[in-house]
Amino acid sequence: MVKRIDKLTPEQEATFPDWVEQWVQWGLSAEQLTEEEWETVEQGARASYRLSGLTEPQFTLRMSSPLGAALAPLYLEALLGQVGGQVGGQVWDQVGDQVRGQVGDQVRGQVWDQVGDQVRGQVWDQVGGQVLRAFDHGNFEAGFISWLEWFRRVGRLELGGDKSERADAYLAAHTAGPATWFANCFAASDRPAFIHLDRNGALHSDDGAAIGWRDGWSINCWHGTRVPDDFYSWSVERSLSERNSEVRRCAIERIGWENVTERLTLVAECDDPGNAPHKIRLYDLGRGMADLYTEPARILVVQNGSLDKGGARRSFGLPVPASHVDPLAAAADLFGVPVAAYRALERAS
Amino acid sequence: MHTNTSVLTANGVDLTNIELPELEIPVLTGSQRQGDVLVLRVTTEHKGEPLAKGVTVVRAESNSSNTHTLVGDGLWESNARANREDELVQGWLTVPRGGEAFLIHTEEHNAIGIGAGTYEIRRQREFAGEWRRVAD
Repeated sequence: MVKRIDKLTPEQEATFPDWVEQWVQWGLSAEQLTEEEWETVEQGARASYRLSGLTEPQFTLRMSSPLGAALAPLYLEALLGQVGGQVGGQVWDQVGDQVRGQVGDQVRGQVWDQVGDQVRGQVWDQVGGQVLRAFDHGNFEAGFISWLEWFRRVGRLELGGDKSERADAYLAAHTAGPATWFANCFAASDRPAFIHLDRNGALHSDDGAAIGWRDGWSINCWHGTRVPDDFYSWSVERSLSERNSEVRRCAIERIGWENVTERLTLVAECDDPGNAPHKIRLYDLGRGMADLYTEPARILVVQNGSLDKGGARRSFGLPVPASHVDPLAAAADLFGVPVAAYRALERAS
Repeated sequence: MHTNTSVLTANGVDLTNIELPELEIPVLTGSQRQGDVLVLRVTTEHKGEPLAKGVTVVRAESNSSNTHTLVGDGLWESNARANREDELVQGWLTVPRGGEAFLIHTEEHNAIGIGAGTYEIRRQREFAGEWRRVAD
């Protein structure tokens, strides 16, 4: 064990990629907690209360989802009135979560930023601020935990005093999903039953919940944006009338810009090189939709050169900078090539 | 003469999702486009490794089958920066004199025949407030 780490060795740095992967998996696990793991969680929670100078809670509850973990103490309070104050902050401050590190940030980016934050947002929306100071994010805290554990296990850093015991308790309690900490009640969630991510690691599903728990609670996300329960059945009308511009953009992306062209204003059209007799069309978004993107955009609609199975010709609508007035130049810009190069295309399939 | 069937079956691709199996596939030496992938004729020189069993130039996202694969004769030099979100160039294909390469897709797009020359393989992007690559 070492008392202090001033500089990392190349061997220590070489452990980062595997370490990141291991902890991202830990944070994004969809494995149901085993009986043994639940016991670890409960022991860790009790130890955390003790080490924070608090009495161990009378109730430790195993819930299926983060919503359950947020609601259970509120119901218990309504029924028995014995839950006590929200002690989450008091407990976590004992370990100190104001730290950052290379490993921690990477894991945090993939686990907390992409998933944990959305889960908290959904709980907030449904439970409001009633558990604000009691709610913690369980294994979605993988960023901080991976950082702490790296110094303990790989760096072999001696934490001193009873800090090591505190870190053990923190890790154990966070093996479960999000939890709430009240003076007399600790309620933790199981891990999710499934998590769907897109190529960039954002919560995403093309046709339903992107993350769900075993009691049926779930969250719909379109490339990381939380969307309503009925999002996947929205019509063009419903999509265009959505007040939240980010959700509206997600809804139109799901339907496809090519399917809402009658709501847009045609700016210009031209022949699609290598794809006669089909056209490339450039549309303006119009007033109602000008706020969809953070920068002004127009929509370019291009048709496939091939028929899909069933004989339909698919078309695709993509946003381009609003400065475009020439559809051909916009099409070239989508591939980052000069207009002349795009115009010279011999065949499109 | 090449057709979707002759090109795809030679590379072990299932034809169930192909609408026009007997469509003739011309082998061209100019630039071509297969949906969101551009095969751009260039004059620069590149080396690379043989295509061998094929090189996936755009891999589909988990729940779609939109994968574009290069097969046939030729050398492939992948772009070391290809994984960056702001990079469109996936790599460079050099087809030798007398050789033929093909860009194939398992559905939705007919095969593309590529004759002798050097080509830059590019992905498409979109401008959603800032440029981002089109998700497949």
